[in-house]
Amino acid sequence: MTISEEVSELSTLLNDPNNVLRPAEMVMKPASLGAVRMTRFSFSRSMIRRAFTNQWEIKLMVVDFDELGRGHIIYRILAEEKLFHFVAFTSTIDEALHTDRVIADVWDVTAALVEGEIDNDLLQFLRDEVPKQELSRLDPRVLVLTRGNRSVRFYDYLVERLADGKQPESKKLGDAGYIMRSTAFYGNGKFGMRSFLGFEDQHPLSAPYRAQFLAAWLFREVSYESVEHCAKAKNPNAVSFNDEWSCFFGLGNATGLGLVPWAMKHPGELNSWIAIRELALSNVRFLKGSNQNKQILEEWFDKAYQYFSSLGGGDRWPWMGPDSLAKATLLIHDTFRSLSENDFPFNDLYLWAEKQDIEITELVISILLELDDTDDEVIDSLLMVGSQKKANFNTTVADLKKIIEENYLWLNELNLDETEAKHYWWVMSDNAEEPRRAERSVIDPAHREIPIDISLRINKLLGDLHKADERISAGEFLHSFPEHGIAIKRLLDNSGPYSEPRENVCDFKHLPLNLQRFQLAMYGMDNFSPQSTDWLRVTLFQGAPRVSEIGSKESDKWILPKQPGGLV
Amino acid sequence: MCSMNKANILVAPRELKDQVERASRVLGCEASVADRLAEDVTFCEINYGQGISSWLQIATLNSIALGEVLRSSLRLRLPTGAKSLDVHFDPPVLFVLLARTLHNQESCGITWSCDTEMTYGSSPIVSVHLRSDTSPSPTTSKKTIDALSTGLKVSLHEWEQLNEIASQFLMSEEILDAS
Repeated sequence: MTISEEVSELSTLLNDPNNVLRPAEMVMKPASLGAVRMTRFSFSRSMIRRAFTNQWEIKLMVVDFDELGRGHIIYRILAEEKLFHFVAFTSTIDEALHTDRVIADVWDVTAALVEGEIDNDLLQFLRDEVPKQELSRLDPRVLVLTRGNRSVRFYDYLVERLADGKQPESKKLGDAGYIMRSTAFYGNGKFGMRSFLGFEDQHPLSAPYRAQFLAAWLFREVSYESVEHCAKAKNPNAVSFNDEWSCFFGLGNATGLGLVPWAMKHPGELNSWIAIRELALSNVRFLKGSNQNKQILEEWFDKAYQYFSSLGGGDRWPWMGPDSLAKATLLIHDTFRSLSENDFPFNDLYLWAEKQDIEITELVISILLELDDTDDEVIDSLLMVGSQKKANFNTTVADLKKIIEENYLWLNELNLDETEAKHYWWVMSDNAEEPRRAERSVIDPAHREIPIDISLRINKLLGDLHKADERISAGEFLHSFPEHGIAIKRLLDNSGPYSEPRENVCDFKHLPLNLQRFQLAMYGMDNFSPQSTDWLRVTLFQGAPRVSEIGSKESDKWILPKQPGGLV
Repeated sequence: MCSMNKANILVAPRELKDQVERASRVLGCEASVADRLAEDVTFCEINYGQGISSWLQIATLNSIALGEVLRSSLRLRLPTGAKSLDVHFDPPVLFVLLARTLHNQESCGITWSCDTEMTYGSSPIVSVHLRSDTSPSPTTSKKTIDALSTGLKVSLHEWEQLNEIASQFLMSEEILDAS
């Protein structure tokens, strides 16, 4: 079953009574968003499918490394008649300078994805600017800027093993699934780079985050190339990673608070990301249980169990860890077996899962969505969100109040008039413009508050709307209350049922991890490992095919890779 | 392509919007007002030029005058059912504050004209005539598309002035770490 290819308007699909969609009050709860997992719609997977389907040609053009892997490396990408290059400059920095945070001055690897040919002038320009990262000044030839470091724990170990003619030992690697870890992927106009909306129609990287994920995939290639090069430099008879290991490692990533402001500022994007999942879930739930579909699902249950059990490990507050997820997968599988002869076994499995822990619910959804086969071009088009909505400021105060009553009733559950509701405020640090949150009682926001306090703003707007003449327009109201511009624009834009996380990000109890995990899962990251309430480590592209495999193997079943040898 | 020469620098529209928003906050504008002003300046810089220089002019106003001038575009609204409307500004208002709102009205089927020459963002506007039309027109200009794909060339001197003010929006890492 697929989302209709003939109806491209997301809002039309969401209003189609044939789609049985889950209500926003269930989907947009912070804990629900914080339990979401990667699906086939996640950007890492859709990027690889596109590369394989359209036979992108990716070639390693230059490897200019010394014996320690310092130098530069260039990949050439021909994608649907567009030419790109990924250029990485590599170094070795002191271990003490490695940090997971976005703030740093030096990195082992800095890199850029550029469109077009590379000549000496451009290479020199990149050599001068790319290592400076946030202090660089780029231009629209550059699409993505990134950086990262070698794994302190494993890079040298992997070099030694290969140099000794041996493969890695699973027990030494623990739950690590990467060789290098990135800390940022900048794009969309930052530092003078090409704006996302500046990609023309049919451009192979015009889907959201496609350019960033192509860069991330190539960053992972650099990590493999670097380790194997250094091993060969130590011993000309060094071996390469064998078939089992050559796809196992992904790219590590550490993510901080920056994802929270992004989520709160992009309601249209949130709505489209979630709506696509919900539409697909609606389709899958009402599939008949054909033998083929049941077999596909059984294979995914097996794969998930193998993955979680080979990864191993206890719970990772506030989430289940690999051991619990392995047990949950067995339970899900058993339950499905008991339902598999029903007329609508996938719907029955979902209804069972809905009554379980939210992580089980979301694990079931992520696996069920493997049965959806909506065309990628349809998904890409549904992901495109118009940036320039024209709010109708002739809307009356009475109508604004009605919009709040209809769409924001949930604000009443947030205790927005309590002191705790305003405990935090959000600010950008002068170090790499890193978003942070500060306690209002400790630091005065003055003029520095990032306006992502949407719940508080709409609540305050409602109070002032009650004082105004119901017949006047929003424009006239704003003349007296200009501070309500953001809230009114939010109401009038009406970005869709899944556009608002149902929480107050300034509240004392706000847990950033929920919105962070939601976005990371949408990107296609996994192995969520919270390090505090405010940041977490993840892995992406673990198990993914290598660029050299384009055209030679199945491109979409790479997720949930079992660690070679396993841990148990 | 080069991102910079002595007089100009290429910037992305979102960079300009971000910096005007931050710099406006530093001047004391409330977040909603700064957001609107940033969109106005960015639109004007792309489509007419002199957006940043106009903002730098506005930035010299005292807070009362600033508050009043920033409400100007909110008056540009043809009431439902009205065929036309003349909106007068005394003192005149810089076109940078009106341009985006006027262009947005076109998508609702409203045409407009100014009685003074409005060549750039800094052109002073005394009155605007709004008229109901029957044919809404698309508003995404070629200039906007070009700015998104190839960047927007702005005065380096003005960009640096804007950045210097905008940088004060950021909070010291030391203060944050100490809190």
